Amino acid sequence: MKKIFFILILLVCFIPNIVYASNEALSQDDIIESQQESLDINSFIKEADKYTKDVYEDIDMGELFSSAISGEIDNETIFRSILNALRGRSNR
Amino acid sequence: MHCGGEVIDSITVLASILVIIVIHSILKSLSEGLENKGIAQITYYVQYILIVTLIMTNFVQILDIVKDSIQSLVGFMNSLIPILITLMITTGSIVSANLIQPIILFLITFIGNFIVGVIIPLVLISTALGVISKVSDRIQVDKLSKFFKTSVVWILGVVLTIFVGVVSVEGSLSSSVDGITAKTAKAAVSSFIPVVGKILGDAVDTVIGCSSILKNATGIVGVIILIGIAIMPIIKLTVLMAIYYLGAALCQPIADDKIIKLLDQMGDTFKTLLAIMCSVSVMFIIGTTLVINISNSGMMYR
Repeated sequence: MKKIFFILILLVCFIPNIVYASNEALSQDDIIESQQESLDINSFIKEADKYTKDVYEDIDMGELFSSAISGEIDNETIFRSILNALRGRSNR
Repeated sequence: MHCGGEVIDSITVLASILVIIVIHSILKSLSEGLENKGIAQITYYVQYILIVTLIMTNFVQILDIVKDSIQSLVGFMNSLIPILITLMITTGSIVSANLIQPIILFLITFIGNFIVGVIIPLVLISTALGVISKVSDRIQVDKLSKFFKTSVVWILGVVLTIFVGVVSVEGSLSSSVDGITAKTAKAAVSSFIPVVGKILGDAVDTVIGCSSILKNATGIVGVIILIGIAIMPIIKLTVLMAIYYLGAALCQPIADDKIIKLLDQMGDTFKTLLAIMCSVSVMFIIGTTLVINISNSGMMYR
């Protein structure tokens, strides 16, 4: 019994259990990107594109999403594309 | 959807109505000169049938557009809400997400189907009754038509209030629970885990913060898309409403009183359809922003 206990202690001592700390800190963008991938937000963006193809012709939903993340949504482009859609349809 | 195309169609319809009214007024003065009431009645009926046929062709197209837009709004909300709820869970708003998801998804689908299946047919019935009651003085179902129209407005108001009320009350109750739970968990991690507890707590906070940014961005994109789906039918209905009211105003000096009332009523119908479109889109926009805000207010407790 003592031998077994002794062997176990030796095993515990010699099993490599060293943890190396990394200096690389994950940036906020990396975390957001990985979450975007794991939650499959890109497929939602593709799905959203289908609904507004004829209104927001000039706007790429992926770009709009990226600008929303950074908090810099270009309202002017949205207004312009709505006006363009109106004008385009009136000409048809 | 051809927005401008249908507006131009409506302008053409209105121009045709004006031509018919002018021809009828000439015929009316001729028949009055002949002192023959029968001919005057027949010319009135012919004129009325022509005008109603023109209006109804236009009206059916617009009803289809409203139905399609509402179904698109509901379809999009059904794909937006699950992803927002998933993002809510990643920000730690587990109680809110569990409480809100079934309610909000049920309400959105129910309201969409209710409007397409009940409210729009009620508008159609109200318009049909209004048209019938202007055929002759003998048949009067004007009050019934008004009753249906008023009912539609009331039902819409109630539905809107229920939706916003339920979502905001449920959300405000659960968000504080979520906030406090997350704060307790973070405090426990920071103090009970030795050495790396604080770092771990901060890391969790960073991840939750990133999820929150993603959730807000998704919500904003969702709102912009909702606006994109609803804006064209709303603009179109506004233009049509204005065209029909203008038509009634232009026809007043020359047309029969019933024809003016008919054009006026068509303007009212488009106003009701506009109210339906506006309430559905505003309801969904408010719903989305509430879902975003519920978990944001939970984050305030940290």
